[in-house]
Amino acid sequence: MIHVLCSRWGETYGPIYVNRLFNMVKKHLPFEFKFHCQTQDAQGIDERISILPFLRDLPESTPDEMFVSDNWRNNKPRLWDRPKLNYFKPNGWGLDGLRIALDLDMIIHNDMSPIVNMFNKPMVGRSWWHNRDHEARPDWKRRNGAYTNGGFYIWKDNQLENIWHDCLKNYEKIYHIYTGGTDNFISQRHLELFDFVPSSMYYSFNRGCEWPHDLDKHIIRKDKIMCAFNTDPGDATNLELHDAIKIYDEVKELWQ
Amino acid sequence: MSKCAIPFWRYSTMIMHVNEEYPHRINDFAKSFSKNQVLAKSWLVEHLYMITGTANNITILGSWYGTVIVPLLLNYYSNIKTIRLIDYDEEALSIARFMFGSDIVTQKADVSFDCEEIESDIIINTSCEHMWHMKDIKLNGLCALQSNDFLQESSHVNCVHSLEEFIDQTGLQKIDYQGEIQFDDYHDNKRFMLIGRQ
Repeated sequence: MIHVLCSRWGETYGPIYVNRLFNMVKKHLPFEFKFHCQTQDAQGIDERISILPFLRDLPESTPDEMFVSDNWRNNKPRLWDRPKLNYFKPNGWGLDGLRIALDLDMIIHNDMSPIVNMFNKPMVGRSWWHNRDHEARPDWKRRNGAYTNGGFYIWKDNQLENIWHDCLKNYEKIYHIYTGGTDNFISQRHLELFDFVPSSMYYSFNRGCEWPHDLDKHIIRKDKIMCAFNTDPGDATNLELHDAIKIYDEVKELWQ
Repeated sequence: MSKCAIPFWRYSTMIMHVNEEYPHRINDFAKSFSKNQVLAKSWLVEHLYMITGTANNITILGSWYGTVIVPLLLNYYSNIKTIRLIDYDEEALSIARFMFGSDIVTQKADVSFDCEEIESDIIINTSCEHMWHMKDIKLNGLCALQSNDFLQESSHVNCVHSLEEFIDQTGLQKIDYQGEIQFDDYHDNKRFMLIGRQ
């Protein structure tokens, strides 16, 4: 049994995004699985999806607590996606075994079994589209730049418990320093725990697939498995999933 | 040439070394001795020396390459036994070792997460804006600390807006000097400095 996890908070992504993600997993994950959503609002979510409460082990980690805290930067709470850290609690919500975590703004459009079958060590999406020369520069690290794309994680049992224990011990510092989000935190403090989902399986709608030769934007790459809709602040050409489905019929057809 | 006050040749050697061994760092290294960096470090060492003219050992937190501050300290403090550079950036420390040889020792550590207590005659941190509050580290020694309000830079995760806020963030109890200067020639921001003890 694989436990598939996602999280929903705020108004940008309504319950339909949870249901559509469930549908795509159902279509493309040919293994026994249970689909869960961490949320405080179950209204509109498919009854086959198990609802998980936001855990409270980490202070100020529920969306409500996070948004009323005064520790913001660039119009967002610092470490704005911190509810995702709950995934890494050992046996969190009483779950164990193989787990997959997905962001709501992912599109899955091919069989996921190649990823599951290659699982050996925890894997996360890699921002293969980043300019590797830029990543190598010291200011990338100084800005706590990310190398990963956390739209997809896969791990087993308590393999990622070090992340959780780090959060329990250092949550105040981690929230404050990694203003960009969990990708920045994971990339800078726990990268060694992960292998990366190969670029043959994973890409970005807004950034392309792999630097330097395969960076065309706004293309569905039919031979790959998952597409992330990550956006960069200040890049007006970036489309979030809810915008892309209005403009690109192909995206709308896949997001069902 | 023996009377030349500035060792240009050392910087020539260093630029060639960085360009050869660490080409991805050449801009970063050049920025480490920009006018702005020289101004900030000179401001610190000149005021520090007025408060204490002797020190056996000096620790620099978040040292980067130490490009400007190490030569200044060596020039002002003739009897230093140890200058310890602490930074999480091993390549920067490696370049510092090449540049300063036995004048320094280095320690790879993330100041925000790995340092609980520092014991040194003088403790310098000119990049408090990059890291967690200094008040959470037990600093046993005379501290010379700088920060700024240049929030536009994304790596500045812990800026302060005033000297009062900086005092609170560092936990300094006895202040020997506090001051502010313009951050640089291009922005209407401030750089803050405190010298004192926790």
